[in-house]
Amino acid sequence: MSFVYMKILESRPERYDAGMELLTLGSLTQVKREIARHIPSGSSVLDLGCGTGTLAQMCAERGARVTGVDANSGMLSMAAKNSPSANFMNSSLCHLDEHFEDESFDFILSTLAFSELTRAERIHVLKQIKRLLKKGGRIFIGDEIIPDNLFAKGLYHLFRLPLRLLTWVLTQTTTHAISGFEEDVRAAGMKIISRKRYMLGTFILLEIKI
Amino acid sequence: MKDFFKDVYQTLFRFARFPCEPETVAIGHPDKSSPVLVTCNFDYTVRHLKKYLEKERIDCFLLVVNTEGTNVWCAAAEGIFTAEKILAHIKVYRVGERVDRTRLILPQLSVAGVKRKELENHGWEGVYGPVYFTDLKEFLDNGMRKTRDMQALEYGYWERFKMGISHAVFCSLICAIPILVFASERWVEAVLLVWFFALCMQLIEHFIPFTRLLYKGLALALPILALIFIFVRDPVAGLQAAVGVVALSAYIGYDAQGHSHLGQNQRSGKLFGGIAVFLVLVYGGTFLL
Repeated sequence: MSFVYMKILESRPERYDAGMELLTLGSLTQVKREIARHIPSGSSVLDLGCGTGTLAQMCAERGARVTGVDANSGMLSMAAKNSPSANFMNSSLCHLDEHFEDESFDFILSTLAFSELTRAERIHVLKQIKRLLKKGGRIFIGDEIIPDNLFAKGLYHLFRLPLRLLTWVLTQTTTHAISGFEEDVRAAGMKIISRKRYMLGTFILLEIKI
Repeated sequence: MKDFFKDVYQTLFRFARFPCEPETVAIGHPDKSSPVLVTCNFDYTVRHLKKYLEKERIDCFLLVVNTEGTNVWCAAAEGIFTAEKILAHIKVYRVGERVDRTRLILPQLSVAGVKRKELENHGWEGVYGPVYFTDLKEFLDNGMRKTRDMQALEYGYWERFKMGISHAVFCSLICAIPILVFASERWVEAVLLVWFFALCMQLIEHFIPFTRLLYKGLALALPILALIFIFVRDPVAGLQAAVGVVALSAYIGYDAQGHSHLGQNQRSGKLFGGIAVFLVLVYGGTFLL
């Protein structure tokens, strides 16, 4: 990769939110607000792939005890500034078993984190989520998906291409939409309670229980 | 044939990422005591490595770790090929259940990113293998001992040429808009100059007596400036051409760091210095004319 662009990449965290907001045409903030609306005061929350900590802060403002996990230390530095009351942990989502006891959280949240994982990693993390969630707890996963319908899929690629290019120029990163995620959730022994679709069905918010 | 076209494409656009599916793959007929090799999911390397291992009939497990399609050296330098990534892979793909051995053979060029101590803390021993995978058979036959040759990194002319091609493609894309805006009537010459500077920055940079790549780039402009001085009679056109040539050579020289195997001590100055040179010379200089 070009040296000049490598330097831009190093300063990515400051631009990350703006880039992702652009890529999802504002849906990401909408999804985060929708998730935070479900979080009651005093509950324990785990934010997987917390990034710059915007969702963690929304939950903390509602009185929740939030722990954020992210593999990117640059993002976590931003997160610590954005949400001073939350705890943050620098770790890959694949190593959750090393950090938390069984049934540690009332809510486990994730936005645009699963789409950064390979399918094998997604299945591994879903198993960990099942272990970490308290009885009666809820999981909220917001992520980009590739529509199943052929026409919608074509439209999706057409619609996404310029946005992806623009986002890559700004942030040197992009997201990778996932397919077949709901099957993976069910295969992990979880139940999807509700789903909300955004951006012509290309962004989905799942409410899940065990 | 498909592989050949893939090789050409991936060489031309080497600055981009080419991911393949991360996996733990059995090569040949490995058993629980077979060697465990580690690499990144850079498609070019994985395809060639698999072909080599199959050809040499090396029974082993190959861990293709997710670095989002970045090659071993760059991924290690960028901090995305790390012990933590390997440990995550081992966990997700349950490598421990497939092998008795806890020894991992790592690419030597991963040394900047993969800390063996971290692997040891989790019960895995990391051994840095040879620089080139084509030495793997000899390395394994020698009881995982490296000869001096296996540790040497060669930056030969063929490798420099491939890197120069990739750098030229990248610079052509970056310079396309300034060229079309400021030198649309001479775009063929401008593109040829981009390729000349990019190829020279790789092929003959070690003969140019400067440490900083920016200066090496500027030195490459000297023969072209001499030609302009000799052959271009119109002073305005000559000055315009000279500004363009200096701008291109400065940018390409400066950016060569990201497209070479050159050491950190040869890094060419400050980031904004380089960008300023490029912008001032191309935009400012041309506007003045």
